Amino acid sequence: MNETILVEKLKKGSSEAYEHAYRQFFNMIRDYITRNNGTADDAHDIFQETLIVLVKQLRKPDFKLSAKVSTYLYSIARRMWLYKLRDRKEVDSLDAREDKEKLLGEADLEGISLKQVFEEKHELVQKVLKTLTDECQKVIIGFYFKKLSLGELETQIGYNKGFGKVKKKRCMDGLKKLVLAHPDSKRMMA
Amino acid sequence: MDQDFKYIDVIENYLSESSSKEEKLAFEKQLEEDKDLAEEFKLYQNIMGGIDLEGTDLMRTELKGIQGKLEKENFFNQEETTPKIIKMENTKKSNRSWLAIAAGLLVLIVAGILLQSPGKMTRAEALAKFDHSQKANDLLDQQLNEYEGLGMADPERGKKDSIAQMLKIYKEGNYQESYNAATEFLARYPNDVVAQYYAGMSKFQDGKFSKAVEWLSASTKQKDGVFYDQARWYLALSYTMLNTSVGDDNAIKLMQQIKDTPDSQFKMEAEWHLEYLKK
Repeated sequence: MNETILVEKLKKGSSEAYEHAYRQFFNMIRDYITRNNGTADDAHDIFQETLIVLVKQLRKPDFKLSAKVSTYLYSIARRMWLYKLRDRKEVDSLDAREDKEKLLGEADLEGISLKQVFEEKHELVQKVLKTLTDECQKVIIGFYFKKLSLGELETQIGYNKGFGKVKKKRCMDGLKKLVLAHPDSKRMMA
Repeated sequence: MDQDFKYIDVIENYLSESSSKEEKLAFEKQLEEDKDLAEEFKLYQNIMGGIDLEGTDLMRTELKGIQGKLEKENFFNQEETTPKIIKMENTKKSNRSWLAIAAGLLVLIVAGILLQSPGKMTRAEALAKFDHSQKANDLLDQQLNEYEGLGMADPERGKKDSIAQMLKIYKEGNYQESYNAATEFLARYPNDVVAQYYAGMSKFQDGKFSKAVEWLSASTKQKDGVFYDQARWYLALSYTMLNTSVGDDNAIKLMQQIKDTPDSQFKMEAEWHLEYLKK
């Protein structure tokens, strides 16, 4: 799979592309993590989160991948691992001086904040989202998370042309109703 | 608040790339004036946060599934289980058996070259394709003779004794210890090419190729020394064994350089590896 096809398939959330990424790039990330005081399990966690960051970035309309996928993944993984080491207070065990300097000097990588903030209200929406029909979940995740176009969504689910938009609106209305009806909604969404 | 999304089209238009600067300003003005729109916009953003959480969790689950599939294939253990390819022997004690083994290997290697197409092998098989232990042992013995045969009056005797000690440990095949000795030495003399080379080779022998790359790469900076040809060769092999696209690019560049160097000991091998890597 060449780089252009890989990027396109990653954007669309293709399992084949995810597997390809594991086969091509995991060893490189594992080598870095295990060389810097991490275990193979740490490498799996970091690789997974790195791939998620890359895919989310690729889906941003204004994002342009200016480096090779491998280079980009490596930079994100390295930054993530530095954050983790900092949390574990193990920065002194890093064998690369350059990395220590980077950790002190940089917080973000091309606008990606690696510090994840989980807000209670997002968790409430997530909980409610899971109670929608499978079809609505597919529509909402496909359109808003995977950033599929309405046309792609219609093809994927098998809707007639134009029905994707109608269905999306219905599902979003249903989600809104359920969120507002949730007992914790008033307190959290205020 | 209205139970349905009343402003969803307006909100999504505002958030989309296609919305003009004027449209964005108009929306922001409306947001200040229209309480219902402001409430719905806030809720919309929270809903997006929840969708992102759920989408991320689903992706994580999917990636876990792929990881599980690859684990079943033993994909993640491939590098760790790579056999130690070039086991060093004590040449002084076993010169005869070496000759016998070398003769046997030569027959196998020639037969292998004739029969096997480079593209069909695994990385580990490709690494084991050629036996370079004699070349490596010759260099090691040459270094040991140099560092062990020093006179008492040599002003650098202490430094050279440490190198000789590290070389002996390496020769015994205790690569973790030889690596420790080399890096300890490098802490005091960071640019010593002998220690850099044997730090890299210790890691290479242990199948830890990314660390091997780090040290062998440092040792190739000095291009006129006795280590250069071997360091570049083992560096190229280490890159090959990383089994990554970046590693392959670097391996190809180095193999090409080796192939184009008239007096390199590894010209034939580099040619074969180039063909292997390009397939």
